[in-house]
Amino acid sequence: MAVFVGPRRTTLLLAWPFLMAGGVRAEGPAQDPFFTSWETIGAAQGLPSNKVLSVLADGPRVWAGTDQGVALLEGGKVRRVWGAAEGLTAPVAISLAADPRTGDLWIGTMGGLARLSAGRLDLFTQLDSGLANDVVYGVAVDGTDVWSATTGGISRYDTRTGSWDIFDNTNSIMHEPWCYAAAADSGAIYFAVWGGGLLVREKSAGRFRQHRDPDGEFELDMFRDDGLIHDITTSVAFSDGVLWGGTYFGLSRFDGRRWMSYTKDDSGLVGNFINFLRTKGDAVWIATDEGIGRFDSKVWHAWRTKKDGPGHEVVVTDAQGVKRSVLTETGLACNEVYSVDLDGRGDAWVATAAGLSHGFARAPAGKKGPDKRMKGGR
Amino acid sequence: MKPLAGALVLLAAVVLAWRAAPSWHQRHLDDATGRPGTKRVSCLHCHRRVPVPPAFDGKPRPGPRYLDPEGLAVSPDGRLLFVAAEGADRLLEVDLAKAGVSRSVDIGGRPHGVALSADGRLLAVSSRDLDKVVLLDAATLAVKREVATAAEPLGVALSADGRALFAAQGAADSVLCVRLKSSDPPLHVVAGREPYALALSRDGRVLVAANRMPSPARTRDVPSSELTVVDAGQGRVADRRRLPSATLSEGVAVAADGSFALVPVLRVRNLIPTVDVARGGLMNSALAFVDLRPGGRTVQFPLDEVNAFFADPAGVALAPDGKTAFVAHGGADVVTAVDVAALRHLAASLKPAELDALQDDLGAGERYVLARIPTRSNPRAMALSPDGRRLYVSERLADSIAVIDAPGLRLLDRISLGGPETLTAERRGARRFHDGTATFQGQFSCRSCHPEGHVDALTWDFEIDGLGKEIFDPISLRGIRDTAPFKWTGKNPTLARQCGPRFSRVLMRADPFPPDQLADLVAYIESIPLLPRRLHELSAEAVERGREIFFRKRTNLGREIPKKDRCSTCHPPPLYTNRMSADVGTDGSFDAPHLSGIRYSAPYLHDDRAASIEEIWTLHNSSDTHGVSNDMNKTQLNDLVIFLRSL
Repeated sequence: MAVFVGPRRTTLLLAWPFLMAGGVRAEGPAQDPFFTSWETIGAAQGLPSNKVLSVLADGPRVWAGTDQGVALLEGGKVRRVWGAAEGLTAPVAISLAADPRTGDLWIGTMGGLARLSAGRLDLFTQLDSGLANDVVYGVAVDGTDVWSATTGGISRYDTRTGSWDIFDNTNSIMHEPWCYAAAADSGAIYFAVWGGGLLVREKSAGRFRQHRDPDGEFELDMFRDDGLIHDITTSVAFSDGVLWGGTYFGLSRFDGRRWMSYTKDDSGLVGNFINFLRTKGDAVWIATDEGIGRFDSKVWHAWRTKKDGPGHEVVVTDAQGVKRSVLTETGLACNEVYSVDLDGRGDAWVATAAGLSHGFARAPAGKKGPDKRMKGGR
Repeated sequence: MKPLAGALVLLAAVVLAWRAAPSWHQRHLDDATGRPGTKRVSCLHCHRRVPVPPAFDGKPRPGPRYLDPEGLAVSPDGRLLFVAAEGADRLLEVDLAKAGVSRSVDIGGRPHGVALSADGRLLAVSSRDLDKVVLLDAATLAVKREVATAAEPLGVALSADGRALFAAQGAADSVLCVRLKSSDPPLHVVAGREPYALALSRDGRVLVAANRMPSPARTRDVPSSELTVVDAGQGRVADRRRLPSATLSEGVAVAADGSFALVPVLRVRNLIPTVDVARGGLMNSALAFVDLRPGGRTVQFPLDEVNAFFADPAGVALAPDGKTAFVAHGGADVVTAVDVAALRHLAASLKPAELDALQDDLGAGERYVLARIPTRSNPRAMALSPDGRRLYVSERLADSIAVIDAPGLRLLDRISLGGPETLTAERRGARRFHDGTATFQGQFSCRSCHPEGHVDALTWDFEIDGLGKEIFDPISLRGIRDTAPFKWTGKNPTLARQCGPRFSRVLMRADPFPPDQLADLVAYIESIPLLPRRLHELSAEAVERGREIFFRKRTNLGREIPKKDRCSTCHPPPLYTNRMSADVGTDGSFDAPHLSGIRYSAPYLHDDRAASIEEIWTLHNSSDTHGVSNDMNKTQLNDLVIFLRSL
């Protein structure tokens, strides 16, 4: 049972200088990416539910998708909620994407795709539109196109013309239609396909290509770094020329020439069962059923609630594989993490099964926080 | 003997043919439709050469080219008036001192909206069928640039500095926002249904879009349309104001400081039976006052009077001092002048219950209506001179511009734009179609339910067979020339019957059209073209896959589809209707509608129960009574929909 609290300081239990020696790179506007101060926002703070399935930071606004609707947070407070009563008739919000230009929010739900535009909700379902299936695990905005990864294939909704296209195993190279995630980049759209690896839609050519596990159906990674670690992909992200694929069996990285694969056993990966990936700069954030992780291609960070006792910990694994652990008083609401994002201040927002966890890049102003200790440590 | 034998054989053949023909005819019909006992029709019903329905395809249309003036803009010095001549595909420049057209330039694609930058140097003209906005040098009328838009650009606006362009994209349900000096791709912000008119506040911060059609809703819900408020600086929707019971918003004006907007609306009561025509309660003209400030009120002020109606409000203009507004009534050939200060006072001072009552009070107009100024046929768009002293009104079906003394509230002059002198039957019919005087007390015109010959996306309860029984949506009149019989029940063999005495009794509650006027009306309806097909918006491969599904004879499992259950049986090309009735499991037997331009006419089925083309089969065909569709997977259904959208 999680306890929902307001912002509060974290007591650093181990020495920060020791932690900083790992050579962690700065990220975003915050100088300290370690997030040792956390709060949890749940139903008591105005969320429709404690079960937060998706989260998206859009400038100063944070959107949280729960199993009972979507909430808008501003300044760390819940400002408005859209649930069934507010017109989100399919309130289980499992994916979110914002149109950076129009400000519209796209909500992938278990009952269709919804658009929230200046307070108006429009719902598209498999019965009334060209949405391939009502279970929309992933959604991505690319210009005027909205791509949905559904359990019945991929849908593209052209908001300019109102036309829909469906791509599935009957009219594309997709192995099977169950898709889990979508991510857009300037050159391509990426999809994680259950049992089908990663699918790439090349925008210039208008065709698909795919990345599969060379080991086929094996659950063992027979030849390390020979390709995607497994065909059962759940998440995908792309940034700075690097493609990341999350699976139920670990993480894969492809820089255009070479594949690298990571598992919990041979790296600092927080867990092999990956639910979601988000890239920020050169780092990838990894949401798993054992906590949240971050990897900048050199150093790993893992945040999780301790299993064997009270409290939380941050585990840092350096490029040589040396692990160090920091115990913190506050942390994630629980280790079952579904999504993560960083807002414009560098704060982390983590969707968990027990609430929305907010990690402060810096301790709240006027309070003695870990970032001050970090500075002292430097 | 031989001639006698030959005659006997011939006689026997004739007798046999005479006896066999009916049964052969019936068998042939039954075989063609797959439905035993198909009602007999003549051979020519099916075996005839059908001309291609008229369409807006960019080609000149036969006959005299009427000008059909629409959008207007006045130069900053008040000397020139720019007129979008939709029928002539041209932009006209009118020298107001000489009261005549001085120059014109070809735009193509039915130019509709016109906007002028504050310095008067840049003109923007929308080309509604070619999906572009043409930017011209106002001094030379030379084309400077063309901006591609989504489907059907209508109203346009330019920022004061001419650096930002906005266009209402009617068939795309969005507003285009373009920074002309930037390489950023244009923004398409989602609006209501069929955004039609735009207005930009003088400070350039607030852009408002009036949406013509009611927003999508469940059938028999109270309709409402949207006023979309856009932060013009950011190109983001800032607010969406709902206008309950309001449709056909074709004009909008906004206060100089962006604090309020005025929107002429048709206030409909389509959920009550049409018996209310006699009581003046079926539809009324109103002017919506929308306080755009946070929490501001929205009030629809009636423009009709007890026993005197002013049908089809269209354009609106707001005097520069914000004190007087003018509304053009396309169906009444009148411009109404309104005291805006009175509207603001009433909106701010009355209690909510009092405002609710006022919205239905046809006597309320005496508190704010200043004058009724007569015009010629079908006044539509309006523009005020920069000093606010002259109001120019496009008289669409008279090819002229009315010049009104705005402070004096009287007609001053009329400028002929030089359209054809002759009046064809179609032109006379167009005037009849848009004229509200044929209905009881002038309440509405044919056009009130068929704007531009299309649909109003509403269902109406016609009490012909009892209240609550015949609930139908108006069928689109675009491209229906050769699709007889008419009416959803297919009872009217001709348009003359459809629009004749019976219709006047049951709906118009007035004298029927005289025969000559009826013939003109029919000629006009038969000439209403289809909108462009816009095939470039659709995947060619998906269209072809959908075409195969449309004409398929076997299910996915290889089972032969009975003839009566094939799409192409009841909807054969080229009209995509066999002009016969069938029961497709929607509570009765209905005439198969043609499918040309179906993408523009949502919602679907006789009572609008299908909000989208998909719903025809996903929600309303569980027993395969409307064609065999339940074997299809979602991808096939989507391909079929894409094919239908291509027709």
